[in-house]
Amino acid sequence: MQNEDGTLADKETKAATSIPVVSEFEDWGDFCDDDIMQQQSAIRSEESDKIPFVGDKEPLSSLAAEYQSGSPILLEKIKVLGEQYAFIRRTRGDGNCFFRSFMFAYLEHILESQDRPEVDRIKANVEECRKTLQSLGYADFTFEDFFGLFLEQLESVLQANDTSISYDELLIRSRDQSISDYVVMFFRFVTSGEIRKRSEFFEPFIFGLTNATVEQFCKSSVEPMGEESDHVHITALSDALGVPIRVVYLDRSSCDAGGVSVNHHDFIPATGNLPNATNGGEETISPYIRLLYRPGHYDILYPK
Amino acid sequence: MAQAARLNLRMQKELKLLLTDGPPGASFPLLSPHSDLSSSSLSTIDAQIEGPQGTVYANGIFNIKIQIPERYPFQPPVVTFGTPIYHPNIDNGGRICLDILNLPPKGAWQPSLNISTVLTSIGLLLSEPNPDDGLMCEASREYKYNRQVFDQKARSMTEKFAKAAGSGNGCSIQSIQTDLTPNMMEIRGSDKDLKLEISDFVSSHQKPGGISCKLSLESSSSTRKRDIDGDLNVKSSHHLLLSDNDNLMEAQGKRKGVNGMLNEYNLCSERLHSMRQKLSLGSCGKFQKRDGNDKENVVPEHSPSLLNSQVVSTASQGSSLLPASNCHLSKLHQHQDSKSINGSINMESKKLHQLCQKQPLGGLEPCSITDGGKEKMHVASPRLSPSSSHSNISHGALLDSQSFNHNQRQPHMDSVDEKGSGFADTKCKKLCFIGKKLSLGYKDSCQRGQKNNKENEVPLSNPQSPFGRKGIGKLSLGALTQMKGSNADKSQLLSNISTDISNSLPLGCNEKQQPNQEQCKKDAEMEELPVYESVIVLDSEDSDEERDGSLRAKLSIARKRVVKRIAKA
Repeated sequence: MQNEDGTLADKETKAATSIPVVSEFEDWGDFCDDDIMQQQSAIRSEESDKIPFVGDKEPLSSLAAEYQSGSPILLEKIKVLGEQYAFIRRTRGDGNCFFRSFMFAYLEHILESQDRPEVDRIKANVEECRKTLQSLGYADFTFEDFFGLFLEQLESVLQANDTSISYDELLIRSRDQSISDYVVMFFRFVTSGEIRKRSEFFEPFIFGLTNATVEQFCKSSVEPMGEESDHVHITALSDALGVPIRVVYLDRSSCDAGGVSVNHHDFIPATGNLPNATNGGEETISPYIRLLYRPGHYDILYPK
Repeated sequence: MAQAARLNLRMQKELKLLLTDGPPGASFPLLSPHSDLSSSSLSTIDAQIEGPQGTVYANGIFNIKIQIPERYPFQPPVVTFGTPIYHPNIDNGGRICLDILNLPPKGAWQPSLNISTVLTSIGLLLSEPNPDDGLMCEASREYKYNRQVFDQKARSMTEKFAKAAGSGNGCSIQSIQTDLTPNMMEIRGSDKDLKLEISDFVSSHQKPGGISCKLSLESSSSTRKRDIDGDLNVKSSHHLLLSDNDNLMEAQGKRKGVNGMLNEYNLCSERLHSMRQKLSLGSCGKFQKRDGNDKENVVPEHSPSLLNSQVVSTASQGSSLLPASNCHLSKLHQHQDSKSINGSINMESKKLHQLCQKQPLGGLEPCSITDGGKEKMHVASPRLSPSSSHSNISHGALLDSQSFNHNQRQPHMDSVDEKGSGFADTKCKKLCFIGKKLSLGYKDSCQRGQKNNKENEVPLSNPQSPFGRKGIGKLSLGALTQMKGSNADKSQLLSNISTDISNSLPLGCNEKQQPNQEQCKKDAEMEELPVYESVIVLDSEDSDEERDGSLRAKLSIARKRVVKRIAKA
């Protein structure tokens, strides 16, 4: 689903450029640029009409309905999923869905739990991230707006002060591109900073994934908007903010003939400066951020 | 907080930092750290960037316009050059081909970048152009293969537009633009006429070729003119490219005609064969003479050239030369005379344009015939040389000629992809009409040309490769060098010394490529450029290549001289 945007744009681009190549060879350079921009914005607006950045809470049955005529394994898995989870909240498949899902799930969690110690803790972590970025040579103004906006959102979901917002307001803000994108970008900065800071740890994963250096990976796959997130991103974000994340995998793989089970993976933040991010001994922590992963896309899951 | 307000805040912070701790070489004349940033509109920033020291842009001050989009920093700033600049990655409109100025997947913009990093990158781009991803074909090619010419052009552009006077630039662009537009209109108009003619008189398919070459000449010579003045403008070359397309299309149309009239063409070329030999032999003696003259840079070399042109005319008059063209030719040379005296190139080339336009259609036939004569010259000389001493080369040439034939069979879509290969295709089509001998000789000469041109690194055996530009670069070089070769060959034919070519050629080139020490030498060289254009008028078959060469200004003046001599043959 995430790929839709890119592949569509690619196809359109090819179609658009192949025609003028014949006669207006010299002109297509400029023609093409504008055309691509237009195509992309057209596709984007089309997409946004279909799904908002963050959707409404839907019962899990809507997910089952989506696969009604699909793979029986998936239907079986959704049934299994239904034993633990009750609702799903879809996010837009624009390449930022992991960060967007994380943003909404986390802010919603704070809004509901009013967990002030958690807010204080994450604020300290955000300060750490700020220092990390500074030490990595980022100019302050390039990231401080994004940090400021996230902290602002964090404050406002706490009910104690007069700027606090309701659940509806949180949803509205999350659907407002200017706010939503800023927070997504904040997470991207945090992720990039964490990966660079611990480049020795992440290097082998990144090299195995993309054959790129840590620097290249951050520049091409973390910091630009719309770049999809993978294991590396999730690990880095979870570690940097100290927020555990559970990712439930919904795909067509089946383990054995006996029955279907839904795999999940918990990203438990490393404590202290342990080089190993996912420490086996901390399985007791139960992540309150639960995301449903279908190949290429993340949505938010709500337990029963 | 609204997005606009947030953006404004960020821009204030960003500008403050730019002003206090901006990238080296960048300045913001309209902003000062003390001015109230919040009150001014921050959606457009005018910056100035110094040309990096040690580059061709050194000491130049380039105006840069930075537009901040609404969704900055999620969208990249729109950065354009306000000052004309000759750079492979910056086009006539000042648009910059730089990855960080575009969003992924095409570009590499990311919201963590900022104006300071963009300006730094642009500074780097000035220091190190990226000709492999060129926006400007001509500049890219020059940068890669003819650095001297590129440096000279870039320097003169910098001198002209980027030194101290930043304000009057827009005007100059406009004036040049208007200057060129009428030409374009005329070209287009006559193109249509010509196409009609093709359908009416297929047998005269050579006519469009002659005319289209002339048409292209009109715009290319005007560019050349500016070039000489150090006034080469982006706009003019843009027009040039347009006219290129016209000619490409023209060439295609022509090819259709050629296909239909294959037999007639063959007949015609056979008829031409007989007189060509006379022609080439007869004229080579004069080449020799002229050669001597050239080296001394004596101004009154025009009288022999006049003679030569008349020799050409009379030689081909055997078939159907009209007095008009004869007159036209001599006129051209007379103009050359007057110009060399006056030293006013502009006047000359304008007259040239008029002449080209005025020339009646009837005059075109002889043009194509004289051109045929040239073809024969190509064939004749190299064909003999392999037998005497270049046996290896002739072997290679056989292979090459096969590849040429193969190329001919390829669909035309390929050639259209690359303007250059389009020309190549045209060329080999024609080669094949005339026969394998010609292509053999042509390729052979290409080989020799490769020998002589050290800048030509790519193997010649694949001119139809995807790297059409490289291929054509070679081809045109080869062809021209071959003309030089044929020149020499003819003289050597008489004396049976053909190995001399490779030795004598580079020598001559070097000598002429050296920077001019004397004004008279400069004059002599300048004066030759229009003649070179007139060559194109004469030549309907090879002109594609030659023009190609001229457009890209790849060829040293020395080679152009050679062409001129050939044309006069």
